[in-house]
Amino acid sequence: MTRTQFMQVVITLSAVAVLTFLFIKTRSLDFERHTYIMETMRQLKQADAVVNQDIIKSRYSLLNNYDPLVVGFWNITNLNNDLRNGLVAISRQGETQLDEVLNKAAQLSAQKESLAEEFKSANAILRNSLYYFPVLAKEIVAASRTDKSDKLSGEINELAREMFTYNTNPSETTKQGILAKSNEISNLRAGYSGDLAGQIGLMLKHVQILLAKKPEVDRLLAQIITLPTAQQYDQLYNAYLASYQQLEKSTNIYRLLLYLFSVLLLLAVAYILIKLKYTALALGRAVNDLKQQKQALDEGKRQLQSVNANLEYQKYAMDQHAIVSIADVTGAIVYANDKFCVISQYSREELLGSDHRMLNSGFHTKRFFEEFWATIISGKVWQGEIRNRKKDGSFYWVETTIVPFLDGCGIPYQYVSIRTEITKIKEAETVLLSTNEELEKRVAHRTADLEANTKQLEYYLCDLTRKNEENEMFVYSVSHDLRSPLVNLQGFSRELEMVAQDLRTVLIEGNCPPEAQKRGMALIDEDMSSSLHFIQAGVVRLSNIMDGLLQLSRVGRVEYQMQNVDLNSIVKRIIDSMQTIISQRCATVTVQELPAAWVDSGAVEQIFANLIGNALNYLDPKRPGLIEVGCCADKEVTHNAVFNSYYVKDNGLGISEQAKTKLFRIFQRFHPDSAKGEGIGLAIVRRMVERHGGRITVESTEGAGTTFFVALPSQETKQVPIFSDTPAAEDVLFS
Amino acid sequence: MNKKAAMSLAALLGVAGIIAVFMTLHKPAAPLAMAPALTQCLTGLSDVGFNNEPIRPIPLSLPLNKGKVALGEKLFNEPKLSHDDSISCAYCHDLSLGGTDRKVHSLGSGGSSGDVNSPTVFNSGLNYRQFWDGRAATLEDQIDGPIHHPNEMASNWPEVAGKLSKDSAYLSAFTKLYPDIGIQELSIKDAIATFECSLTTPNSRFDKFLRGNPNAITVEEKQGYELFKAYGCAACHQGVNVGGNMYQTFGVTADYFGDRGGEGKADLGRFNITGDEKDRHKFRVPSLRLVVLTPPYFHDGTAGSLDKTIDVMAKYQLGRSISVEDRGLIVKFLYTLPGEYNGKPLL
Repeated sequence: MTRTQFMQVVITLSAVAVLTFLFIKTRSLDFERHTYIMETMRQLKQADAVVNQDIIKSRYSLLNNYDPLVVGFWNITNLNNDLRNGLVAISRQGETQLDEVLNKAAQLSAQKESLAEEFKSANAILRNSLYYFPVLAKEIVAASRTDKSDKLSGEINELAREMFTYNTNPSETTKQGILAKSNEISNLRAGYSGDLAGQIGLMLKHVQILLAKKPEVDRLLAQIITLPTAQQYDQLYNAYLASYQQLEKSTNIYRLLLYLFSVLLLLAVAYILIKLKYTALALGRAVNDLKQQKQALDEGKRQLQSVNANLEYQKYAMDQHAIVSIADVTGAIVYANDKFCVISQYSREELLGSDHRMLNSGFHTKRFFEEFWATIISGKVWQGEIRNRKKDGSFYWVETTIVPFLDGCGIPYQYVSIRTEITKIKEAETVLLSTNEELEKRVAHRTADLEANTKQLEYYLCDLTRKNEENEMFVYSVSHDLRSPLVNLQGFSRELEMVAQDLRTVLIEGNCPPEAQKRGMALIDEDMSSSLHFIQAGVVRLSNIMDGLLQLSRVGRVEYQMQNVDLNSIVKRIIDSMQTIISQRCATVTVQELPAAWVDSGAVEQIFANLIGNALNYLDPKRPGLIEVGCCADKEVTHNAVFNSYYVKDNGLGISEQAKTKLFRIFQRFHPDSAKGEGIGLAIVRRMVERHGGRITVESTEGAGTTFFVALPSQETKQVPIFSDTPAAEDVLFS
Repeated sequence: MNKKAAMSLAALLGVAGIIAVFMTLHKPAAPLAMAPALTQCLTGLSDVGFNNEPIRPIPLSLPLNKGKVALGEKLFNEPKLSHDDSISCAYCHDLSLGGTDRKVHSLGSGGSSGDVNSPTVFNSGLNYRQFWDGRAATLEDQIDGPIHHPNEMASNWPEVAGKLSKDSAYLSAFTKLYPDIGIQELSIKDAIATFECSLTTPNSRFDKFLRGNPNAITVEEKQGYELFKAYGCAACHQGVNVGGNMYQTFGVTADYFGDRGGEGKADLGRFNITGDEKDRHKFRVPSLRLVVLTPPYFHDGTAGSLDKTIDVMAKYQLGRSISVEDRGLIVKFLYTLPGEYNGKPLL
């Protein structure tokens, strides 16, 4: 209970207490009771008056039974009791005075009743005597008439008269007279006997009774009537009224206070009611809102239920796979799945409430855990590998993801850890690490070797390139420099031929002995002519060789324009240009569909022209020539390019195994009879193919045919592809 | 705030409710003393209408609780009210014998003898005092007498209540009729007194005559009634119970006890109660309603017949002689007084 609530309770209770106090004070003036008391007093006074009335009635024979008196006194007694009970309950102000008056009244009533009892007895006797006396007197007189003396009847008559007087107006004189008469009659009685004497005796007895009872009854009557009961009741009435008025006065003050307080309370209640009404309105709106929210919530709940079911499955799946635990903000474990228990070897009871630190293997540094906590406390997900200790002291590794669950303020209220055991991976890793170290050592060693080798190679390559360039320059310059002496040689041999002609003419037309002529002629025609022929043939051959060398060196120097080239059209053009020789050789050339290649179009034309030309030149004359140009379905792939493997196949003479090794060397000819040439073509082809990064190979069976395979790049390559097994360039020239 | 305001309001309303309940509870309970049967008899009787006759008819019915009457009747016949479980109220007040045992002095518990003649229990509720000496103002007070008197029941209230409490029938009856007090002195007395109040004998021939049927009694009985009044009997034997509403000295005109031969304590009458010389030999005037059924007569039970009783009364109370004829007529009148009990004429 808050302080304000307590204060409210206190205020309410105080208000109630004040209200109750004032109310009770007001109630002390009980109008109903007041009316009751007033009515009782009125009835009491009335009953008293009735009793007085009945007493008088009885005295004068107006009332012939005492039942009304009995009832009257019962009423007075009961009313007195009622009054006493009624007064007991009201305020005790002026109590003693009121009680005194009341007691006095009750006392007077009791006194009156007591007197009335005496009165009843005496009155009955007096009444009977009064009735009977005249009857008896008459009887005695009648009886005595028969007697001689009339004195008795006279005396009795006189007594009767005296009695009557006494009864109506009792006086001492009359009484004395009656007593005197009684004495006389008593004296006369001696003269009588029997019944008459007895009756006279009775009469005298009744006279005594009348004389005794008459004043007694009158006295009792007077006492009863004059008892100040009525005054006492008036006094009671006044005393009560006085105390009532006093009470009324004080009660009125309390009533006024009660009214004031009630008005205050009513105002408070009205204020509260108005507030409540506004609240009720607000509540109504809130309830509507809530209803809508509830509908939304129900909807959400249904969704949530399905989501929950999914989550349950996910959790189940998670539990099947992972080690899951939940810790509260203090790090105490509040949930651990079976896998957690199994792997840690702790029971769930041991785990719940404990700290994750109980699993600490001491492997990780303090800093590791500080960073770990700093991460998750800040609400971020932490991931990492942790080595934990099982109950039996052995260790296990877990790949751990800790997800802090955040409250509305972004502060974590629990941490969910999902772990996967990676102990085996870790062990493998350890092994791997040591292996790696070994390997790295070896690699380092090897790398050092390689670096040395590479340096060597680079040196070689530079040397080679330089040599190659030198070679080509040498070849070029030699060819070029040799060209002019050769031209000289050619020119001067022609000069010499013309000189031989002139010499022949001189010999014929000149005056020379026939013998000399003959010998001269023979020298000219045979020796000189053949020498000249040899010189000329040599010069031609030398010229061809030099052309070839120039050509070859140019092949190394010409800049290639690599592009996507349609080989079909190129091969068709080549074949078209060779139609004459094809028909001469009765050969059939078939061309398969050739895929495009990324090559220099001039070079590739030269390559195919050479190969097709070779095939035509070295056909076997014994059988019809069949030449096929095509491309293998399989593509050759190297580390940086894709090659189409084109081929030129013939059924010609073939190449011996022996010749194959030297086939692509310069100046090699294996069928010198079949065609002219200096043995330079295949060397150039090879050089060109290799400048494309490609490769040329040959398969051949002597007497069956030869197939040249040319691998050319099928698409653009960034750098010139090199077959690793391509012989070095010097091979071409110097091997 | 609103919730608290509502709470305060509820508290105030609750208090108002409590005060309202308190108000109704606080209503002054009208003090009700149990009205004696005589009061009930006289209630509704007008003073006029019976020609100012000294005798008045018994009401034909009284407003009494029937359950209490039945319980009182059972208790009235219950010997457990006496110490040795030997006698009940009915033992001395046999309803079939006019409500007395017709013995001079009743035999009490243990065979002891009472010292006065048992008065009839019929119409005892119409007596304004109980006992010959009038020492009990009500029937309830009267019951104390025989219960405690060593020569009568010789018991006490705790004993009686204890015995009755062992009886489940009494337990349930008292619980039903007196849910507040159960079985105890007050409730036992109330039940018995209520039953005794029911023992009235209304609708006698004389009452019918009083109520205006001139042929309800014979001419002789009418003459007897006139003589009853004329002799002065009616000076004391008057009212609804034909007596029982006043005291009178036994021996007004002659010395009864002297003539009888000495007096005992019981003969002192009310003097034993008040010590007032005026009350010496004063007794409550007995009812004559069932006088013809309840011999012997007087407190000492010495008069065995009505004739003797009337003679004694004439001599000692009225101071006159009475003729045999007149006496006979008066007796005839007395025979018109017993009425009916439970609808059956007692005579």
